[in-house]
Amino acid sequence: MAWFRRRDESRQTPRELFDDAFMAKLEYLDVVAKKAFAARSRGERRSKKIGSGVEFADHRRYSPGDDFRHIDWNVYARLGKLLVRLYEEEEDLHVYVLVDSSASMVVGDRQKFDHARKLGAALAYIALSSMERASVAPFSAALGQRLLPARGKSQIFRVMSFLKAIEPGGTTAFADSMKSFVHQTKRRGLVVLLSDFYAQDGYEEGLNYLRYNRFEPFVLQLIDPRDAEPSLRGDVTLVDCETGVGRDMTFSARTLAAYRDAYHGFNQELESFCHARRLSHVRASVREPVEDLMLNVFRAGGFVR
Amino acid sequence: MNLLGLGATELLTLFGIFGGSTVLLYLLKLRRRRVEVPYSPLWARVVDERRSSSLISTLKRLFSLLVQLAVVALLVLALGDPRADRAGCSPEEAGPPLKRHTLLLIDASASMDTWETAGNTTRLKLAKARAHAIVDAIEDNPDHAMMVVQFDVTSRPLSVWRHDAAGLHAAIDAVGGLGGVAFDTPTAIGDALALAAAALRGRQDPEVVLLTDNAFPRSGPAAASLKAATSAIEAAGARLVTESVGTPAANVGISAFNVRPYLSDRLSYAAFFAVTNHGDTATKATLHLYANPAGRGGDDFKRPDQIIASHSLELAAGEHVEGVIDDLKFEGSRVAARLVLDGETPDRFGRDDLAFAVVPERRKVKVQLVTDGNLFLNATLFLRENVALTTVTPSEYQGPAGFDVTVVDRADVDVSAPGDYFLIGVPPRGPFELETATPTLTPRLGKVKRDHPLMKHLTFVDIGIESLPRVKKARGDVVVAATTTGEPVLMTRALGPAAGNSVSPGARYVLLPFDTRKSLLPMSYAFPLLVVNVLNHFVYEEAGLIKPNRAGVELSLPWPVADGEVSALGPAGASQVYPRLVGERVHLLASRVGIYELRGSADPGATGDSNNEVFQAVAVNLLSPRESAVSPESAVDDSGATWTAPAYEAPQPTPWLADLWRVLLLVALGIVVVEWWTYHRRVTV
Repeated sequence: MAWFRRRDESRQTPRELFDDAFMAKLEYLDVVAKKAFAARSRGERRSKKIGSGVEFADHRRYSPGDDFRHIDWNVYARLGKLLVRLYEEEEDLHVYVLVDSSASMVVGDRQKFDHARKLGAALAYIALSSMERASVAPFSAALGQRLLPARGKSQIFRVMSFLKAIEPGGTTAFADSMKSFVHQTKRRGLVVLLSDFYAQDGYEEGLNYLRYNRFEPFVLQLIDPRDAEPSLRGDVTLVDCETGVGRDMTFSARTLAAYRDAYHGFNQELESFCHARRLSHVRASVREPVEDLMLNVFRAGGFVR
Repeated sequence: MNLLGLGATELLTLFGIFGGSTVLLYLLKLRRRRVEVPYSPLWARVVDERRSSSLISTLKRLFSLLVQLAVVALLVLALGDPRADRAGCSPEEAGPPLKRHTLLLIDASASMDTWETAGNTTRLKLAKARAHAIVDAIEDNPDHAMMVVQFDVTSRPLSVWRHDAAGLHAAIDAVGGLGGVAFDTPTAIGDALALAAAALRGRQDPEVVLLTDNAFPRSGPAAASLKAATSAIEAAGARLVTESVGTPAANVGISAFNVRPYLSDRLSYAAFFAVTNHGDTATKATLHLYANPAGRGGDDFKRPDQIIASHSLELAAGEHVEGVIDDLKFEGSRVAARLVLDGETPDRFGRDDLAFAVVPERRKVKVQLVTDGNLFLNATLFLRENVALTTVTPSEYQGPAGFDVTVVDRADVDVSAPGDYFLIGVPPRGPFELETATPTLTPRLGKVKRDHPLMKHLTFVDIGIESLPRVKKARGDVVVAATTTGEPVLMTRALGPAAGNSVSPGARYVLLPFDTRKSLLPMSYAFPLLVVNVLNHFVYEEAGLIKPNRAGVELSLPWPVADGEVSALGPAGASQVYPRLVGERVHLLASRVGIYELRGSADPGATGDSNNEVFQAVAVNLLSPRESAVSPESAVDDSGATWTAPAYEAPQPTPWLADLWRVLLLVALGIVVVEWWTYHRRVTV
């Protein structure tokens, strides 16, 4: 009977990436996000631009041509100086969800890629429900075709369809992809990077490029615990899933220990890099449910203010 | 180093197979498994660190292969069960050094069947019981090897040198063959001891234990043989210990027996016997003769209605009596003599109380007498019990067909047809011619061939022939008796295609060419003897006395055909005898007394035709006066010592690792364990 059961399981259709249960989780996350950040969030996000808003931002010296209505007469009465009141301009926040679709994300059972897409959908939903503009784009060897920024919760279905349609594969050219993204994006905003950061050219240049161009990178590193503990024994040929480069190795306990050190060192380097540059960094294990990961994202801050 | 298990060739073959398989598996193992990893730069750091040790890794892999081959070599060598410092490779030499060799020489001759009242059993069973006790005494001593040899007239080893009690007990039980009783054969002690000396030569601490009743000859050729054998035993450095069984026993036995047809009457037989009283007291006995046409063993010759004669004997102490029992008439050709002691004293040795004889089977001779009347001739033929006489007149004569001999008395009939003729008087026309019509009157007898069968037991004296026709002699004629002038008085002539062959269709003649009525011949005793000799001349039969055959001696008997198969059927209870046909003689060796029937086919290709069957019966007897003297004499070694088991101290238990193959196995196992441990700790990879 166990044999039959196994065969029946194998005949089951793959679960839908975004099923009803996932949608329910999104609603739950939306509520949680609103409660957790009600004190500091009104559902909108203010930009740092000074403009015609109602929220006082600062004073500056009066310059000829300024609107007299903005002169702060109380200050002039006390200090005898003409200062103009500045107000923060309220504008829509753009949230860009960049999903790594390289081959390293689908090694094994595609868990990292599926997790990335679910997290991307969840984050997009949170953003859309906050009346932000959300955009999604895959990247691997280059930046893929993106979903144009949209607003409103109803856009989540477009986001999901877009994410489901992404075909994984190829190498990871992180810097080139980020450069392409920067060049193609006029409005700055929050860039959520969903990736394992197994970039052949490194991740540092790409993140810096985003920073230098006034984007706010939000690093969400997807890890698979099996990557840290490979079940390899004896003589094998390691083949890089992205480049196809082979490398003969004989595994011993010492080799595996060295690899574990290298793996943890890599993760630590990424985390240190982000902290040093005040970038939000969340490490998301594929073993953890999406909702738990989202709570970690919320706790980490930087995504919802 | 010697290999007690598999041989070197087998080990090399096994090493080739398993070593080759190991190398093949090793090469297959070298084909690396391809594993896809998400990010090889992580591994690059590790590989870079270990690249410097690639040469060592290669050497380690090669070393791993060598280790595996070494393990295979150790296992294969263990299969060979190697032993160090041994000279030979035979199983006997390969075992632990044996320190004592004892050869059990068990007497199985006829005298060993003597009944011993003390043990209520036979001497052979007492000897076997003693042999079993000897084996039991060394059962726990693995350094004591024994061999069991039985002997009678021949010596037969029943085991090899061995020290396992079970095998030795089985060999002792096999003494005596089927039934485990003594054979009906005499003793050849000299041959047995010579075999023992040969078997013990070069052995460590050798000894012979002779289990016998000491009832064997000590004089004549046997004495010389015994002396030579004991010298050989001494030369081999062996001790001779006699374990005597048996007590003095009085015995009366048949020492000779034979039966032959009676001289003058082939339907009558005479039995010759010799009976010896080997005891110290006088005794009375009766010798019964039994006849059974189909008998083979003693049980077939014991019914009272089979008795054809009985003869009472009174035997003084040590007396040897010989006698003849005449005028025996019986059906068939098989006779047995059984000696029965009078009174209640049983005969402790019964093997010599029975003897067998086979005589040629007789039949009546069919004789046709053609005469107008001859009282002397008619009476002579009529009184012979082995003659079936038919008298016809010359006018009634129709030829010789259906008769063995045709006697023509002064009748002018046709005698040219194939047959055997005894012609009396002037020969009829045809085969004989007269030189002259004038006969010789009152001839005087001159030359006589006294060695001719026709003249057997007779002589012509004053036969008073009145007139003798002058018969013309021809080439091939044999003149048995002639006158002084050479005229035949008694002659033979043979005609036809196969003259001289009794079964051929040719014509044979015996001519007595004068009128017996006009002579004194019918009045003399020679006349009936002459008639008997003439009949014997035509109806040839073997001489009556047949050479007796002894048990235990290979018989060589004439056989009418050179090819084909011969089978033998002996008495009930005897072992199967396998005769061998060599040329026109068949050889067989029987160890039990009785009558053996030999059957074969005259034409090997023909089956199912009884006419082609060749049959012959042969009697085998003990008839050994020396073997009948069953009272033991002095032992051969004459020391009076009995065998005692040597003191034996059980050796210290052999360490488990004393066998090299176990060490090899442990080393191989240790290497495998170390290799497994180091492999899984990635030390040897």
